[in-house]
Amino acid sequence: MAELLPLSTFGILLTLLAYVAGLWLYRRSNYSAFLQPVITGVTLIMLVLWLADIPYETYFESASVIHTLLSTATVALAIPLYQHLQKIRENWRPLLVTLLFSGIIAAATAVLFAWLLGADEKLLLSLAPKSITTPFAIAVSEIIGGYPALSAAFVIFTGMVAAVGANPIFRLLKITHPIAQGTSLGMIGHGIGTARAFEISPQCGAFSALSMGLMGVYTSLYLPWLLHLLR
Amino acid sequence: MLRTLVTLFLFQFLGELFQRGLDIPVPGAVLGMLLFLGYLMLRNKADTELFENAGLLLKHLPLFFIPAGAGLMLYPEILLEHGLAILASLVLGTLIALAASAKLIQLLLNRRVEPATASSPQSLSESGKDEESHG
Repeated sequence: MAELLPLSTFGILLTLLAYVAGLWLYRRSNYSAFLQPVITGVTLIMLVLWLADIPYETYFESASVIHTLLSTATVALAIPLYQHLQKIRENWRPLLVTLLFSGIIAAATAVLFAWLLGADEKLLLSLAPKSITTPFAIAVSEIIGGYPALSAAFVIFTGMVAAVGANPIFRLLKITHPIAQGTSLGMIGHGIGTARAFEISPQCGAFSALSMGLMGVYTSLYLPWLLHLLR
Repeated sequence: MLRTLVTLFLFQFLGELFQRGLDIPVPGAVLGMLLFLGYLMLRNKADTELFENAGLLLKHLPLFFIPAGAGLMLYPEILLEHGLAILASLVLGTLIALAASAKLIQLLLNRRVEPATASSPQSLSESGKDEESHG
């Protein structure tokens, strides 16, 4: 079957269709955190590839334009960061302290639980960047020697857990400050947490977007260096 | 649109070039973002066309995750063998990190708000309102 496919467009079209279906389902479900467009999209792609017996590598090469645009979108994240510079300046101290702490705790808890349950080194390295948004996580995973594709999937799952867990945790711990809610959602739940934060309030969302960017930059700077020093 | 594409791809290219040239363990896209941020700060001008066009790209950010995310199917044996370790890491690790992060920044923010009460009561009441609206 794979030989018949026009590979210049097949992967692109399949990805776009899976995303459109994901968006539709997300809206229909009234924005359930469990039905993020990424989750539906990825599931549909895997299902189609498995049913049609098309190797993942064939699909990925065919969809490489879309994957390249992930880096382009990462570059574009400089814009929301730039637009929120004023807010960063006003709150830089609490943000910086929380960032330094969250970057460590996110990677440490991820590695700790997996290590306790017997995961090997390569898997631990794939889990370490799980709280940073995918373009960062893929790059970090590649550099530190994990499985980039697994890291990407772990990142998406992490975002979903953060988005679903946020409300109960905020209620339990009485986290009422919109900046606190947004910052923690962005730092631990990256883009998916940010989408959730925008549903709480625009201010919450702005801080989440900012925190996601800061966390991505910080983790992708410190994690490879730390591992480099440890080796 | 054309200018937006040229700008974004230029910084993406520069970021990747720097990463290769300097051989530093930081993703090229991240370097590109930092370079782009530096450029925006130096230029310090609200470029509506650029911001709006780039916003279209960011609006559909989840789309660009899909090809990489489907890579999950590459390693069924790892998922089967270490499923419990992965699940514990992703669920417990994330919930604990989220709780700790949220608690810490709220403590820091509350500590900072008190001395600021006298100087800027307005900002305090604003954040108070926000809390009520979704509480």
